[in-house]
Amino acid sequence: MSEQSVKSLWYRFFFAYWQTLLSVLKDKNVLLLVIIGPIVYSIYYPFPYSSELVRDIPVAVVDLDRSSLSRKLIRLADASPDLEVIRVLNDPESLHQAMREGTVEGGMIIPREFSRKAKIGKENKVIVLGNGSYFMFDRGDLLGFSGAVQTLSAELELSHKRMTSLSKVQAAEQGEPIRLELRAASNPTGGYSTYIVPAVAIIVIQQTLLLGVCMLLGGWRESGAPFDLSSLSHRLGLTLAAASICCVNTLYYIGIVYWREDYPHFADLPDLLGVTAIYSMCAAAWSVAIASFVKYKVQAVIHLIPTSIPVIFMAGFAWPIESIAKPLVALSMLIPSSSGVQAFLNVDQMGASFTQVMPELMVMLLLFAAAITCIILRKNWPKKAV
Amino acid sequence: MSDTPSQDTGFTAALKREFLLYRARAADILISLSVLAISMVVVSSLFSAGTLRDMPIAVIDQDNSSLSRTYIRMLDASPEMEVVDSLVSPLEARELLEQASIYAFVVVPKDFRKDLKAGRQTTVVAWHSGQFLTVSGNIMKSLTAVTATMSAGANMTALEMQGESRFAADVNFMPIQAELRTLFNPFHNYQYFLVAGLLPAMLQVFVMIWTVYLVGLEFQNGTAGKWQATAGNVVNAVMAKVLPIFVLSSVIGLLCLIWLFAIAAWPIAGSLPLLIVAWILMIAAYIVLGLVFACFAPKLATALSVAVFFTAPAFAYAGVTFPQQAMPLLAQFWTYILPIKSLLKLQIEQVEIGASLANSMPEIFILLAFIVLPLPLALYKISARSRALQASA
Repeated sequence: MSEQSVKSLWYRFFFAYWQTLLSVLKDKNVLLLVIIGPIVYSIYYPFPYSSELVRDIPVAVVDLDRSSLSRKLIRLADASPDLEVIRVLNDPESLHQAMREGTVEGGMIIPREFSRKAKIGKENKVIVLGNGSYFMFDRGDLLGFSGAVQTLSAELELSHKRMTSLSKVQAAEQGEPIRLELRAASNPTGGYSTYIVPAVAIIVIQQTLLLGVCMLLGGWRESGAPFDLSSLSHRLGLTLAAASICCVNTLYYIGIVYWREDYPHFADLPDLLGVTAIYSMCAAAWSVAIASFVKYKVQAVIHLIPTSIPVIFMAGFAWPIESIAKPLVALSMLIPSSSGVQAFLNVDQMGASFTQVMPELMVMLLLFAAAITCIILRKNWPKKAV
Repeated sequence: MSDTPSQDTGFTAALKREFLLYRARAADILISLSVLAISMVVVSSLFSAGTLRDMPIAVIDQDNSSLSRTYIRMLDASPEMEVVDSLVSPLEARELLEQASIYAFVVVPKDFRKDLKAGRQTTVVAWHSGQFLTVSGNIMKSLTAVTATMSAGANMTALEMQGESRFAADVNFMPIQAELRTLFNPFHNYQYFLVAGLLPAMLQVFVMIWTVYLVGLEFQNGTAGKWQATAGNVVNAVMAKVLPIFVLSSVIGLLCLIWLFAIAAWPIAGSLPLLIVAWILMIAAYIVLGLVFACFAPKLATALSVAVFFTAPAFAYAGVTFPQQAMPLLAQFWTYILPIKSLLKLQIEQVEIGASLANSMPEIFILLAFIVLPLPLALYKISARSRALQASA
């Protein structure tokens, strides 16, 4: 190949690159999807979860004992950050009723004879009722009430053991011979936003890019493209332009949104940029390959929107891959975000290195290779506008 | 309608025109329906395991005694966890945790057995991936339960060794126990909990996008005048336009309900008829909102983009996974703008909690309001825009 023609290939490549970016800026609807969309979502998605934790769940206690000890237990439960005791009731049925009506989201039943049994150390049981239809409530109910019960129980046991002449330390140790110390290696506060947003963000970036590129190419098919797509250099320029948009969006989320929302960050910058580059190339080539089949501007919006939900749950963060059937795991590998979410979470939220996420990166590179092959081989592209 | 030729105008004529439009777009509708059906099947089968079982964890046994091995066997035997690896170095375990090969690792300390025999307290450290909130929550609960069981056993042994008989040890001093019961969905079944919410979440997207598309096309192609003329008046026109999509979506909705409560046979604690009414009302609500979006947005593509934004992330605001009460006030108000939120609230009340009909009436009224309130506005705007289009043509 002569120097002249190599030069013209590069010229065409960059011509298509800039023309594509220009078209995105000029078409308000494409712009709305690929640039405005991610910005709006970056505010909209974290917003409902901004409190991170579910605190002060309204609960009721049925106090059948009416003793100073049962009142102490109620105070302890109320003091827990998870719970707020808004009612003290007289019978279990009214607690069930209140839970069915939704006025309280959990409850505890303190039995008769509670105080007497507790003081002599006889078998003694309180009943904690959680609300299984809302998992965050259930978790808070169980944590809050059992914490209060444990505190009271430990206190009583300690005073009992002291009476039987053991030292305070000895008594505490005998009460609980094996102490379990739970330490979170990531997301230490157990924040809900920290758990959901960094994963969903990667999917939002991919889905908006896919719809935007489909709208762009669909529009070109209807009313002509700004350059001749039968030239491979032009198609590769188009793909790189899409990858650049994806890359900018990813960096916006990781650099600005995560910082604003104060999510924990563990990644080294070079590792993170490496993952971002591979993810962007993969998502872009994948989007362009799919968009080459689009016949009109709004086709992808009409056909593909319901897929966002399975795409989110196939990514393996909310529902672990170990619990997903093998064929569906294989299917999920055909979507860049599935490996992308895992690679980004491992590197940025959990502190893995570039080499530790090699399997995920390899899947993305293979998908990229397949998409690029499709872009190279496919003949049917939008015609140039005349 | 004696003054108009009955063949050419009126509701039936408009409906006939719709069927011809559908025939012309048969491929489009089929693709859309298949994508929706595949998405629904994928989501339902994703959660087919129901509960989180056998999540991989690793152990570092620094004691290597009969007691530590018993403890590890107990961890492995719990339904929530499976010990997949026995490691030596915490660094190695940390790496596995970082790349999500395991969700937790447990370090059993060196003098585990010796300390327990001597009646000294020993500390087991468990590291878990808090990033996987649901999985780590489950593992923490299970670890706590297993350790408490082991602890109780050790306590008994220690007391026995101090010379008290087993019987005396038993009655020595019982701590207060909390019996944990979960009302409504007691098995923590994610299929029951999530799939029933995600199916209508996918349906609402389909309903709204297609309503916007079908109405928006009339404006984009400049055929709105003809559409109105065929129907005779705007009410007939809109009714004929949305009837096929309403019937189609209602059939899909009913199929979902049949799958959930007849074939998968999940228990329903409240009223199934009320639930069916609510699904139908939700479909109608999204159709009316679709009309509004389609006639107020200047361009079809813009209307569709706004509809995407309105429906696609709606599940995040629906309050099923993260309760509404914990959201900021503005977000709590916003949830009321989303019909899916009212449907899912009613669904949880009727399916899982078994609330009374009166309890779910507010949701029914909210869904009705979505239909009744914006409808006149949409009809007025559609009529005005069609007339303008006709005048300019």
